[in-house]
Amino acid sequence: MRQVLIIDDSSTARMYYRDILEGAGLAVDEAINGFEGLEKVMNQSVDLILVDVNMPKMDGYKFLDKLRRSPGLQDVPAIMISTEAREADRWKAYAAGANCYLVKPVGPAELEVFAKLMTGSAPRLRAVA
Amino acid sequence: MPLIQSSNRAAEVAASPIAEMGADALQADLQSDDAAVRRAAVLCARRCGATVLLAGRLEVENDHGIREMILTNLVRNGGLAAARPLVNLLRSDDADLRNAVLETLQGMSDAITPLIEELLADPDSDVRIFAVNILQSLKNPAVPDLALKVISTDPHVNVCAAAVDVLAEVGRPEMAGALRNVAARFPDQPFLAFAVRTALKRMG
Amino acid sequence: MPRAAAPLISDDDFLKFREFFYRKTGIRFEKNKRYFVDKRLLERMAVSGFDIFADYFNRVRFQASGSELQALVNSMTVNETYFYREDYQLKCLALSILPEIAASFSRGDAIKIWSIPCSTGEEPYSIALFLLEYWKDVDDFDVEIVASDIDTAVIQKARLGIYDERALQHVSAETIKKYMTRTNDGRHQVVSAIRDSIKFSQVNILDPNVSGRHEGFHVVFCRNLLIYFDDLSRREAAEAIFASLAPGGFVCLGHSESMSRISSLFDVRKFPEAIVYQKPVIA
Repeated sequence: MRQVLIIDDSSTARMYYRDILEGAGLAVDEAINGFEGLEKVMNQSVDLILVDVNMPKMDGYKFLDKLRRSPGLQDVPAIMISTEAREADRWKAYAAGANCYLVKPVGPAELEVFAKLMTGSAPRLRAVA
Repeated sequence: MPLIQSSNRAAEVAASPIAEMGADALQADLQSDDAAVRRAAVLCARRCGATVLLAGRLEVENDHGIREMILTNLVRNGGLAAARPLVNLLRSDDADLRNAVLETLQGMSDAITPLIEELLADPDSDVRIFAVNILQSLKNPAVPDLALKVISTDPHVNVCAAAVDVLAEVGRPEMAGALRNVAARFPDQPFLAFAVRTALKRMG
Repeated sequence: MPRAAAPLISDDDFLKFREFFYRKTGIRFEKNKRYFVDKRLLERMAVSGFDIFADYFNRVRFQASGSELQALVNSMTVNETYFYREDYQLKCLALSILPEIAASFSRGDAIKIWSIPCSTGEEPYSIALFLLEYWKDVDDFDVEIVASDIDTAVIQKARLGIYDERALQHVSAETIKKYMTRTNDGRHQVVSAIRDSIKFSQVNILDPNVSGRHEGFHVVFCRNLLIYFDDLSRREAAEAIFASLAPGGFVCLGHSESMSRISSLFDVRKFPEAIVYQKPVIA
C-alpha cells in the first residue's frame, strides 16, 4: 500500500486529509511540523508528502529545502498546500521543490485525484499524462 | 587509558559578568559583524531588560542561535510593548521569520490578548488566521469566546475553519448552534463541514 | 435496577486529550493504549479533585503555571535509570557519531562528551564502558566525559559508582568483571581509573551562566530531561545545549523525545542506529 505523510499543524486538517486518502486506498502517517516530518521521512518509506506552509519549528518551504538536500529523498513527490492563491506563490513552491501546489480549502475530489496521480495509483490518468 | 579528566581551566575562569554598557554601545555591538560580539550584546540586553531593543534585530539577524536567544527572551520577558513590533513581522514574505515570530507570540503570556483582539480585525485574512493560531496557545479563559466571535462574524472561510479548530479543543456545548450556523453560512465547503462535525463531537 | 454508568472518559474525550498531548509532547497514544492513558488520567483527576473529564481537561489546558500538565507528563512517561538504557544510542555513538567526528581529528585529540542529567551515574559510566568495549578507535583519542546534574545528592552517588544487579542487568558478566569490583555488600563498584576520569559538576541547564563553564562538547546526551520542562524552558535549555556544543556537535535526546517539539536550532541526522540532532557546522 502506498504511504502518504501529512505534515500540517492543524489536527482537523490532518484528520480531514486522512479520511480522503484512506478512502482512496492509501496508508497515512502524520507529522505536526516540518521538523517532525523530516524525521518521519528519514525513518520510513514514504510515497507522497502533503505539506502545509505555516507551521512552528520548521515551515513548509524550509522542510522542502531540507528534503531535497537529503540523500535518497530528493525525488519523493510533495504537494504543498497553502492559503496563498497568487501565481508568484505557486512558482515559489515549485522552486522550493514542490511537485504540486493546492490552495486551501482543498476539496476531497481534488486531493484524491492528485494523490492518486502522484502515487501512480491512477492508471488511466498516467496514460493520459 | 583513553579516558581523561576534563580540564578545570574553564571552570576556574568563572563566567565573568558581562560588563554593563550604555545604550549606544549596546546598539553598536548588536550590529557588529562578529557573531560573538552580537551574542554578548544580546546577553547584556537580556540582563539589563532592554528587551524592546532586541525586537528590532529580528529582521536582520542571520545567526540562528542568536535569533533564538532574542525570541526566547521576548517570550520570557516581553509584554504588550515587546509584542507590538513583532506584529509587522507576521506580514513578512520570509516564511521562516514569519513562523518564528508567530511561535514567539504563541508563547507570550495572556498580557498580549488585547493585541490579538486587534489582529482578529486585521484586513489581511492570513494575519487573522495567525491571530486565531495564537489563540490556540493562549491560556486566557477568554479564548473560547474570542473564537466564537470569529466564527460568528469573520467573512473568510479559512479564518473561520481555524477558529472551529480552536473550539474543537476548548468549545463549550452551548456553542453548538453557532457552529452549525457557520457551516450554513459557507455551504459547499467540505473542509469546514468536516471541522464543524468534529468540533460538535468533541464539545460534548 | 441502576443504569450502567457512562464511561468516565469517552472516546471523544480520549481523542481530544490525545491531540493536545501529541501537540505538546510529540507522544501519540494509539487506541491500544486506552487502558494505560485512562488509568493515569483518572488518577490525576482524583488527585486534583475532578469528577468530570471536561473540567479536568480545562484545568490542564488553561492553567497558567502549567503544573498539572507537567504532572500529567510525569505520570505518562516511565523514567528509570540503569546501565545501557536505550543502548541503540550508545551503539550510534560508537559506530557512527564518533567515527564521523574522529575522521577529521588527529591521534591524541580530545573528544568531549557531556552527560546531563547524569543522575546517579549510570549514563556517564555506560558511555565510558561502551566506548572502551565497542569503539574500535577509542585508544587513539582522549575521551573527556563530563557528567552533570542539578541535584548534588545524586552526583555524590555517581562519584561513588556503586550499583546493584538490577542496574547492571543489561551489562555482560565479562564487562562487569573487567571494569567493576565487588563491594562487601555484594554490589559492584566501577574501577577507580574510570571513576576518576569522569568530571562531575552541579549544573542547572537553565542557568544563563552555564555555557561559559561547559562548552566545546562534541556530543551531548540529554535524555529524558527536557520532556519534563514547559515549552519555554525546553526552548531555553535547547539554546544552552546548542551553545555548549562545538560546531557540528551532536545531541541525543530520550527515545520518546523529539526536537520537533523543542527547538528549530538543530539539523536532523539519520544514522543506521538512531536519529540524532546536530549543530550546523556554520551558524
